Amino acid sequence: MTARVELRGVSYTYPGAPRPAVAAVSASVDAGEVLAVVGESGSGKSTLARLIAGLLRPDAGSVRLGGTDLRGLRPRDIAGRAGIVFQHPNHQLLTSSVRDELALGPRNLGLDADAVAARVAGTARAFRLAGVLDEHPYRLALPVRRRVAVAAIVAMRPPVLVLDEPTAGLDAAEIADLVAWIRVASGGTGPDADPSASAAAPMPVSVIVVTHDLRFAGSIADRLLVLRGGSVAAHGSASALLADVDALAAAGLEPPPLVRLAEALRIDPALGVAGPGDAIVDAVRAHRGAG
Amino acid sequence: MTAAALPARSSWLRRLNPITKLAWMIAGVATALVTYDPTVLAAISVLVLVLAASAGVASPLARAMLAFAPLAASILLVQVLAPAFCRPSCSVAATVGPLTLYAEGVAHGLVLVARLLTIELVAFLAILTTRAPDVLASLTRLGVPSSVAFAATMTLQLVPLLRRELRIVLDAQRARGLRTAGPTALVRALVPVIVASVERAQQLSISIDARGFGSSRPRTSYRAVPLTRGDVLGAALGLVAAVVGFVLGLTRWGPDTVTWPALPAWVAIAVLAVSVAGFAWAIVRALAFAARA
Amino acid sequence: MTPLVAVDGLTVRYPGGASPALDDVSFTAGAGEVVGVVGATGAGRSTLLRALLGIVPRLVPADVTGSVRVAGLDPRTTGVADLARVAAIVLDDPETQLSQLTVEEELAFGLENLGTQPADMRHRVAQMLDAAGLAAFVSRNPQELSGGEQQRLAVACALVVRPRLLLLDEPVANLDPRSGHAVLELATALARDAGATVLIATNDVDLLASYASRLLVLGGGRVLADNDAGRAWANVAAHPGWMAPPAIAGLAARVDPGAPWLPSTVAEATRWLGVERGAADP
Repeated sequence: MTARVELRGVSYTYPGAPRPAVAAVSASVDAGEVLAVVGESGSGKSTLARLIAGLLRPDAGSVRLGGTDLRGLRPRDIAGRAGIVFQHPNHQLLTSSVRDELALGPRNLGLDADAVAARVAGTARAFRLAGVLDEHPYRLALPVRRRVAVAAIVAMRPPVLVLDEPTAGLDAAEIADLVAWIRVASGGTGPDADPSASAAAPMPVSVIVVTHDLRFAGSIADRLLVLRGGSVAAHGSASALLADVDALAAAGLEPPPLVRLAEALRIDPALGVAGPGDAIVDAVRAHRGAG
Repeated sequence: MTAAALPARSSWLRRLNPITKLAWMIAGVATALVTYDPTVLAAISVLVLVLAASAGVASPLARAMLAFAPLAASILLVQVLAPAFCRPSCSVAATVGPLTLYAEGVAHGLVLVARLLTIELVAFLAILTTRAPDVLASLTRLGVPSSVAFAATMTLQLVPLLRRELRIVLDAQRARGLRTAGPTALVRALVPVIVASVERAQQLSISIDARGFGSSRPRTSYRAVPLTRGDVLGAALGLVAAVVGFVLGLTRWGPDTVTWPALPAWVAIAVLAVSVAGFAWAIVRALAFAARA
Repeated sequence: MTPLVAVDGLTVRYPGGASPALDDVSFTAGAGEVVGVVGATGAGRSTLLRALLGIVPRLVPADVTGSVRVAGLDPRTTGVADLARVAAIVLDDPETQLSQLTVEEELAFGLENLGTQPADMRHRVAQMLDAAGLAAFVSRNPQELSGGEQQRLAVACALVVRPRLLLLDEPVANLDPRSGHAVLELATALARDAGATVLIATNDVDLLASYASRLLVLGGGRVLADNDAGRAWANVAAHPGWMAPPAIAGLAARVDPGAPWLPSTVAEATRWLGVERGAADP
């Protein structure tokens, strides 16, 4: 499956740095999965994102996308296999209209004019950008700019999508929107998934999200990779790990608010991972009745 | 100018008032600019190196000079092979294959390189022994408006900032399948960097305004750089030395007043070899840099 | 006793804007209060904070009507230095706030602008370096600090001039939770020591819950609620279209629909649910 990401013992040290930013990290992500990479500031999350996207070459170990080691690929080929969206959309807006922005990637991948136009239309529809296609990206508000940046990468249909701190500066409604887009992009179906949006992602992709927002991670991730000091502190199911207060504390992280509450009330912390669903509401009511 | 990277050792040169240092720097540069006499240039350079050693900046100074090697090599190469002047005619020092090396050309090239190095030595000694905030504080004391000092501060911050932004933008471009090597890629990357810089400048101007900058009230200075009468006297002497050196350079140390000993052939060939090597090394490094980008 | 901040009927319209950014906003805040200013994107939080400093309309053109008073001064007519003496703001991006070559000079910058005497400046800078935990960085270039350290520095710079009003506009938007807590903790603690009023505009309502006891909820430029936090969140929960409450308040609203007061921190929630840890109930 071309979307599978495999990291084997990946290490990287920035030139002149005293310690490796990433040390012997191994992990994998399958097509249709969302992996959240979490960790304290300085734990190596962003570096790992760049390694997966092929922007950095590991000093040791290998990054394989769809079974192919990135080491042997030219930068142009990597762009078609892994797309990365950075924290600040401004750095990625390279043209003077949203339409050109969406078309840039597909064109560079060698698609002909008709195919490029189809991609632009489909992606604009999926990301609700049809109304701003002729706008200059810099004139748009931050959440829209971020949508443009994500859409511009998704337009390239990379099997692997990497998002670095996508929730910075967004309010709760915009984050919920983002959750929906990510589900669409990864090929899964959410309750609000726009059926016509399936045109944007005909095949399931692997999504890697670097974030320090564990509440967001809880709403989007299937698997969790916890980094500490550049190494893997924990790796496994997101719902299990986000409820593992001790494992998170060992990595310098605080669990999402409802997990902390569940733990304080001595009810199952796993109930708090996904948000105020029926299960935790019932458990809290029961606890209140008993207390 | 390094604001904080200087070693902690203190020396009189470091503590010397920036204005005084500036004045003497002007003296050294003005003299070297118009002087052809190698003895004078050598004297200035040796003085600079001695001062550098006493201030503990000898090795950074030497490393800074290395950065001018490509430029020096190019100047030397051009002068050796095609001297700009020959009066009345040039004497041949040596021939290497089809190339004719003229004695005057070699001598002239060496002098030009010596002048370049002397000027850079003087300038860098001043730069390496002065903290930028001190210069700005001194200039403000002399009456330079605080907005100018602020602009100078921001400009000093600009290069590392822009470099960091550029790297991120180039990464983003590479992620879209664009080439990131070569001049076109750099130009294309400049647009987001410039837009980001303009936006940052706008926000920054609002920030500093909110912190009271630019009001009509008199501004005080945190960094008190003492300006004694000795400093002012020293600066005045420096400016006098600049004028004297400039005049002497034009009149007594010009090209016509310097006589050159006859250059043996091997010297000419050696100079040619060194300049070609230096030039080739500069080209290779430039290509490597372009390929890596 | 006149309140420190008094806003009455404030309406702000940006040129070309379809609807007002702020629409007939009125509220007051007294000395020492910590008020959270919350609302969905576009609610007018930033505009309100900028209007309190006069940034709108002095530096950002807009049509402003209504009355704003900060410590009795009108930001629209008061000179820059006079208002800077009284009110300070911290923004979301440190790069747009830090401009000097060393940390100590960055701290001194605001004091220099206000014409503070050098001896007094030295004392205050040294004191603030300690209070903010930045003493180790005194001669470093602010650009070399991490995002969290830079924001702590920005807060220190705002407070070193001893303002009576401290405004924080999305101070933790680009920070991880630990740094976010450190920044808000520093801001509220130092402000409390100085008796200053703090207004915090932020999207991160979960983080805000530990610091703001009073909330101003904005929506579409209007004041939707102005209460202590518990009642404000109950109001928010009762109006799903306004904005999303903190996770804990949202859960509490589902556990007890229609409750007039909702907890937003773990400590408040355990008390509210009547299950104090270790409390023996005979």
